[in-house]
Amino acid sequence: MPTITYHQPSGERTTLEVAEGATVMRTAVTNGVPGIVGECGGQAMCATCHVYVRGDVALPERSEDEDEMLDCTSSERTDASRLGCQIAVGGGLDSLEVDVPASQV
Amino acid sequence: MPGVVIVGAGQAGIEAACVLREAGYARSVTVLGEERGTPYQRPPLSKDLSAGGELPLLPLRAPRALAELGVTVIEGARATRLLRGERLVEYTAADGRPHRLEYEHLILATGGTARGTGPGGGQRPGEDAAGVHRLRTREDAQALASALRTARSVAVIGGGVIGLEFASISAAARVPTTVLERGQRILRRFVGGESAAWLHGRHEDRGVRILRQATVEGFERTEDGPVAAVLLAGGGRLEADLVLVGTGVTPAVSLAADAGLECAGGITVDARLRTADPRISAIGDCASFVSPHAPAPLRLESVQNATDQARFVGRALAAELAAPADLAGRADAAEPGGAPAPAQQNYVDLPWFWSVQAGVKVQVAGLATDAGASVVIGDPSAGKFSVLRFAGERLVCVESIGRPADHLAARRLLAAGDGPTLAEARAGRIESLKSWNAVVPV
Ligand SMILES: Cc1cc2nc3c(=O)[nH]c(=O)nc-3n(C[C@H](O)[C@H](O)[C@H](O)COP(=O)(O)OP(=O)(O)OC[C@H]3O[C@@H](n4cnc5c(N)ncnc54)[C@H](O)[C@@H]3O)c2cc1C
Ligand code: FES
Repeated sequence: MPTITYHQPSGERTTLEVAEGATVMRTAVTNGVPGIVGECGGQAMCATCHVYVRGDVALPERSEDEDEMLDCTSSERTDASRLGCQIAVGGGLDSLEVDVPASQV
Repeated sequence: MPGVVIVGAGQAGIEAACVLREAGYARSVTVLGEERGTPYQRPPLSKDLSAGGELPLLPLRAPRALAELGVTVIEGARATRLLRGERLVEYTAADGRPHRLEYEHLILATGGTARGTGPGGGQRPGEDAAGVHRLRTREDAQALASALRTARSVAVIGGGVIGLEFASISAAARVPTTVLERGQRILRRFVGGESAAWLHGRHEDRGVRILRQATVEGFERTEDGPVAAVLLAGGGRLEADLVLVGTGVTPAVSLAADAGLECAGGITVDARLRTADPRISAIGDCASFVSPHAPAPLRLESVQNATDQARFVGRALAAELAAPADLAGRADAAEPGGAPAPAQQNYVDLPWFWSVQAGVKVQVAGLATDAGASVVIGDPSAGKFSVLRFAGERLVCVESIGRPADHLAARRLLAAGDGPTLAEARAGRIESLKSWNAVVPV
């Protein structure tokens, strides 16, 4: 099974086994991983699911919408910034590790 | 000591419960929720719905997260009566047994129910027929998804946000879809005329037929009972085997009203979201509140409104109800031993909305109105533009289609009250709101 690992600012780490196609946002919200809100329900419209992706993984490019939203996150945007609702495991990508930012709203 | 009781385990109620805890409230937090199962987000119901498909529910917060915070949610519990003198709420538990719960503060977050097509939101004859749907709960969405699998023609009553979101889905599923709008134009409560006209065209391009000034008078049923057609004023008849009534929401006010609290188009609350009883607040879809962004009391149905009001009330109560001992050591604490200073600020948050329909994302910051001047920036022909709305010279609302950065900038500018003036916008040099700050000469 694919896995997603969440690193909290406190250093705490959670690894979850998930189904193919599970997004970083939905997995976090469904399992109560703190620090990921997902207020728009995954429509790339709220930027409250911001994460920093660890390592050099093959994720689809940011859409224009995602790119614009990432300019407006509550915690600083870096090259590793993605919207958690727009990235998923599966399709050859078996694991994802992300850092949860200090704030979302 | 009794704690805070919240009626309604929806967007507002769950958020308020969590914020109370996160802000340090130490006594019990209990949420009574009539719906069964894990409390869930409603917006995906009309966006992730697909013909015949399973609808993956998105929880508001995971049960584990609620438990860790120390929030008790009683599922299947319907509050039936408030005894304000004794600070008690009566409820019927999932097993049908009556219970009572004492509170030191009560938050009403009861949301609302889908309106019918009749006067006052009631149902017209035939509206209870099989095939006539509403869309408010997960059960509604599941029923719609399975009905859409076999539907031959869809009629949506009401050209509002939910009706048009569903029409987008049913038309994309290649089911002939007609929207019946009673007024002169669609989306009257959501966007102004320019955006509505643009979206109207876009819906029609994608196969949604929209009839305006179409007033529903009743429903025709087939012999074995299900709906066969929608009947219109003036003798029109529209065949449909799937009807979605999307005529809005009736706020759930009966608990408050029966307890003698004022209700006028919602549970009446003041600028701090309190009812006339200082121990009872109301938030979210059920509350009629005053706002610096609106000339008259208003009731809004949005995630922003539910969560921001929940955060406001949760934080204010956590500060106000904290026992002096709880406050010791907190940076913002009042003098130890002295009465904690109640938070006296008003709720002033800027309303904002979003919708996904006709294949585009629509975001609105502020309250749309057709009064006043407007300026369009961006490129409507490319499906990427924003409409800036003004009251006099002052920017009051921005509607963005395919321009999320404008929307986020607009929220910031409107909240701070320093957006471009009408004259500045008309001078025609605003390419995007995001870069607006950069171009203002100080
Ligand atoms: C299909 C759909 C799509 C939407 N899309 C969007 C969108 O894209 N963007 C947006 O901003 N907003 C959207 N909304 C609106 C948004 O979901 C609501 O504004 C929000 O859910 C309001 O939260 P609330 O807590 O006030 O009410 P609700 O979420 O309705 O919660 C109220 C709860 O209280 C319960 N309750 C009522 N009376 C009692 C009682 N006596 N005892 C116990 N429990 C009781 C109800 O069963 C309900 O579960 C959408 C709504 C729907 C239905
Ligand atoms: S959930 Fe809103 S942007 Fe990802």
